[in-house]
Amino acid sequence: MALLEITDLHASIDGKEILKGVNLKIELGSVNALMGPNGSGKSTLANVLMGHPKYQVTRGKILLDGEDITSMAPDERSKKGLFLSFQYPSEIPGVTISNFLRAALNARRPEGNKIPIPEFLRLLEGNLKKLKMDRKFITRYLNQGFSGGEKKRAEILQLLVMDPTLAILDETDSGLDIDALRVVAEGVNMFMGRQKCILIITHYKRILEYVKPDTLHVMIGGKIVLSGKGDLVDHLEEKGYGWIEKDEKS
Amino acid sequence: MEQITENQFEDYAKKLKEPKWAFQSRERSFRRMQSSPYPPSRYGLNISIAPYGFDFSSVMPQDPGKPESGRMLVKHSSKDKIEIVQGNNLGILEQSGNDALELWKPIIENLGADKTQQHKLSHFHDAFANSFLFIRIPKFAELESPIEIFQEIGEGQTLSDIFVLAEKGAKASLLLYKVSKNAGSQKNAMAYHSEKIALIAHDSSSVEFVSIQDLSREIVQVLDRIAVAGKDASVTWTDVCIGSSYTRMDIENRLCGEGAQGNIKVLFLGAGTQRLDINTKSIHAAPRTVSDILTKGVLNGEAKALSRGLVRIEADASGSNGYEKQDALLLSEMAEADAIPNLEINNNDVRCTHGSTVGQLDKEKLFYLRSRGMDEESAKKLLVEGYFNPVLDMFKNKNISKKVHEAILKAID
Ligand SMILES: Nc1ncnc2c1ncn2[C@@H]1O[C@H](COP(=O)(O)OP(=O)(O)OP(=O)(O)O)[C@@H](O)[C@H]1O
Ligand SMILES: [Mg+2]
Repeated sequence: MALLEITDLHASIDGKEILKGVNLKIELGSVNALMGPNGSGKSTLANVLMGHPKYQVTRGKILLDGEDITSMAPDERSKKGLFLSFQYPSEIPGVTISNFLRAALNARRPEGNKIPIPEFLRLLEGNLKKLKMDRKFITRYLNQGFSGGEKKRAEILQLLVMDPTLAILDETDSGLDIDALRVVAEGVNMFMGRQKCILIITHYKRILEYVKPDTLHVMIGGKIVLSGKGDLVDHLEEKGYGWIEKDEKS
Repeated sequence: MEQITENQFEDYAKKLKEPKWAFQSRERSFRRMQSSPYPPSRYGLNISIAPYGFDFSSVMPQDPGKPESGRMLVKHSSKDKIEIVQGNNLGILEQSGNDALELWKPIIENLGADKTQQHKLSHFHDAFANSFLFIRIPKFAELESPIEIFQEIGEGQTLSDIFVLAEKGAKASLLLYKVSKNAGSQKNAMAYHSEKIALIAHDSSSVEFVSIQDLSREIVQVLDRIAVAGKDASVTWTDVCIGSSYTRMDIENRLCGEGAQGNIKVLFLGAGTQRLDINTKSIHAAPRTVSDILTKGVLNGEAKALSRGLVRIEADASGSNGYEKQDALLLSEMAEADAIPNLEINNNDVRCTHGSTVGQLDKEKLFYLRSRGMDEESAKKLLVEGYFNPVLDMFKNKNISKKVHEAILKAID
């Protein structure tokens, strides 16, 4: 059984249908890539999977580990092991990264059993080191005034600290410099394991050279129109998306 | 208040056994009370703020009480010779044996100089005040830790006066905690409380007065704070307003000496049917004076807050700088916040700015937090805490910012 199973998912925003029947399966232990032109609905899918209240699911369902999570609250989904690294992470003024992560970790622990501070600091510092991030970073207000690349690093730091089962990375590689991309990709590889799976949404081949996808899906017009092995990316790099659309019509 | 008779006043005043000058001063206030109006509760066409389910006219003086009722408990660990005089009547100034009377009497009388401006509630206070605290911080004394004042409001009617005199070059901070035990133990009864604080900051002194108030929701309170700052003196008010049913707060900084600085910060959290009427004023009466006002709060339920701010720059206050900002965050549809900023500028060589924001919780931020596993409630709390944190960062005294932070956390929990 796949960890995540999406069947015939339709979702709209403000009455406009964006997802028009998405079918997708993600197996434990697999790296999956999702590509597609701007505006094709990739972020919408990511947000709908995470349970963003601004979208309405009008048809279809999402199963996580066999359980229907289609109408579950986002915090419940998070507790079930889902994680989204946002394409545009929100700025949270007045809340330091450290406070934020502590609140997030405590949220998934039983009431009255908060994570002890030394344990928290050990966890945090270990992960900062993996990502070659300065300790001072965690005393900054989350994402406030961060550069594009810093925001993405902060997302990966959260990924490592929260250690979910399924991570959706929405263009986490965009806006990273060459070194940062390598560090972030290494971070993602450290996260990955047999009991984990990833959905990488990207426009570029480069991250997929570090984090090798098992499968690659192409989304166009709110549907997955093509799925293949990871090496499909070379074909896409060369030819773009136009040929698929033509194939679709014929 | 209309029904209070001459006889009632005299009975009350006699029980206090005060010296003649004090009695006469109360009597003047009693007369003014009879002829002056209540503070306005409407501003323009759309804004009104008044206690919910309470009428000022129902306020009557209660028994002045035993000397210990509403008494302020003062703690400090300073080696400097701070002078403290306290009691439930002004006779304490004469009884305290030193020059207290000579020192404080002119201050009491001068601060009331423009009493004609004041409203009925203020005169009621002056006529019936029953808890006094005088604190003198001597020349060049530098207090390492704050003077802490604890006060329990509730049993009986407490109308308190606090006077702080910082002599030349003195540096001090004061922390007032107000709580109430079982106010309103009689069902549906609202207790009335008022408080006046005067702060005299002589040349080059620096005084910070922090007040953290978490009174029960059965208390209607009227607060009046005034500071007078001399040359290069600095005065700072920080008010954290959490409890009470209704709070009216007047805070005024008079910057009278060249280079004086005046800061006002009011942080508030309101819920239910709480009402908050905040009036802040920075009066620049000398050259190169600097002022800063910030009112910032979060409202839930049907709570309502109004923040009126005034920066007045007088003609001879050239080179001055005044700033005022009024922010509010609304957590519910029914909560309401209004800001009325005002600038009165009578000198061209000054800088003055104001800004105000009223906003709701950002849905994207909320979703971001929830996607990390926090339920709606905890996510909101974290955002509210974050709303105040940048203000706490501005506190120089980390001890005080910690206490304010704790009070906020307790309030949102
Ligand atoms: N409130 C809205 N009303 C109508 N259309 C919307 C609204 N919000 C988003 N859309 C549309 O939904 C479509 C899908 O957007 P989405 O962000 O999912 O695309 P994407 O595939 O992630 O694109 P990119 O590669 O640029 O990140 C876009 O055409 C966008 O304009
Ligand atoms: Mg996108």
